[in-house]
Amino acid sequence: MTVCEIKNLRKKFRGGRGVDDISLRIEEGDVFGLLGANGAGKTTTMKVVTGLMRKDAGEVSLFGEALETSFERVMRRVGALIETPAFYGYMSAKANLMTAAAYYGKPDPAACDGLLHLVRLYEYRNDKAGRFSLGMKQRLGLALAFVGDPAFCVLDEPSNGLDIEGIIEIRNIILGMSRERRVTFLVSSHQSAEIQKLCNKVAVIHEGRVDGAATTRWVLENFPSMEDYYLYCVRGGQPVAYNDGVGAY
Amino acid sequence: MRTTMVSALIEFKKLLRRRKYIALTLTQLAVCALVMIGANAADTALSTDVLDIGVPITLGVMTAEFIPNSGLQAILFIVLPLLIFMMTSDAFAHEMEDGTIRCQLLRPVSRAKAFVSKLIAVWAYSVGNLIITWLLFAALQTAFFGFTAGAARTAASYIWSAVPIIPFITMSAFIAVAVGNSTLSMFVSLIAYIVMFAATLLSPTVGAVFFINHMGFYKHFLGLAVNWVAMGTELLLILSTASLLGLAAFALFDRKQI
Repeated sequence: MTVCEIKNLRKKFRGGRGVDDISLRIEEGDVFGLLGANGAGKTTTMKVVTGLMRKDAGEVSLFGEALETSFERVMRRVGALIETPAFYGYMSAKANLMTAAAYYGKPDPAACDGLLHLVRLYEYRNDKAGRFSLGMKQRLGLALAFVGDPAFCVLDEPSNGLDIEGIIEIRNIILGMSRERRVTFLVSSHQSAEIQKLCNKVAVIHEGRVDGAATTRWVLENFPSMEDYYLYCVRGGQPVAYNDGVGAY
Repeated sequence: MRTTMVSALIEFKKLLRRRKYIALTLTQLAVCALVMIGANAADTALSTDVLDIGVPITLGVMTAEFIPNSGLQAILFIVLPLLIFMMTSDAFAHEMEDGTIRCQLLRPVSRAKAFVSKLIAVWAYSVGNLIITWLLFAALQTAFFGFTAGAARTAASYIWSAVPIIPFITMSAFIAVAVGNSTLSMFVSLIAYIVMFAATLLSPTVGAVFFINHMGFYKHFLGLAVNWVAMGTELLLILSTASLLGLAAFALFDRKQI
């Protein structure tokens, strides 16, 4: 089942930045990585996918439904962490989760506690989120993305600003959610090693375009590392953008 | 409709968690209570002399009716505009600035519903402020002077004042979305308010085009008979202005890249 399909997406800003002709298909159970440098267009793509930004052209559908026409229905099954974690600093961690959960029906305190346990913030549940460290804020952002039991999670640089242990912790949470709950992920990063360890599929975004897309297995069979594949793509070494059937456009 | 109301309830709860709004409301209530207590003390000191000279009305009855209505005027023209500008600046401009608006926009709530829910929350808080103030006045009035015939009119004045504050909210929302900076939005709202207020004072003809001219909507209930036609016309004007400003604000909000 296709969870997210992006066809010929175009979103341009003044000055020419943005994305142009992006096409991706993310299947159920995928941990799909968007690999690209800062300013390549990863966040713009994710913002359009989650409705934070309006596209100039193209199509975005989630769970087979167009985002614009079925926004509320599809967003019930989508969780997201875009750019910096969004939470109310004047509320406690638990109050933030309860507030977010209220959008999906009656908030369940036990479910919120479960999420706090998952991201190891349970003992700080009553502390104001604004006083959290960077890593704690990132973990809270992740917990907020998991509120509402999403089937598809869009995570923009989830390990941004974290130390090594923090990065491993976040990776394990994502992989755990993928394996145990069959949650599909779209994860962006500018770190090729992170994408290599986390994702089963990858698309390389460079200057607003997809320069290459493949399964991680295919990449590692044909290149020494994800980093080499990235460089190969962005330096124009690969004229055919899609490999191994991923995307198929 | 359900999504809008759920979202509005969440927004309202957020307002209740902000200490600055609660502090402003409590200060306003404290001032109202002190004025009423002071008036009662002055009335007690003076009423004996007034009765001695045979005037058939006690100061108490006048005080009882005068203070809540003067209080309403002060609240409508000073406290509520300030509170509304603060709340809409925070709900729109500040949340867009610090990105917390994503807490709402990444949930299953459309932009239109998110926008309306914020307006409803600000309006509900303002109405709550009016109701609590009226309840305080009513309680002190009854305690000091007993039940007076004007109490029902005062109640109607407070309740109906919930209507002319709507254009304030939509105007402030428009400024907040257009400006996109909370401090600047608060400042521009205040300047716009002062300019409109001054224009209304200087020239009633010019002032008539501004919705501030209709803040005295409650005065319909202060006379002996209510002029329903005049009241209906004024109601229509208020709601039309509010709708126009609201639509303009939403048009901007809907296009915002978050």
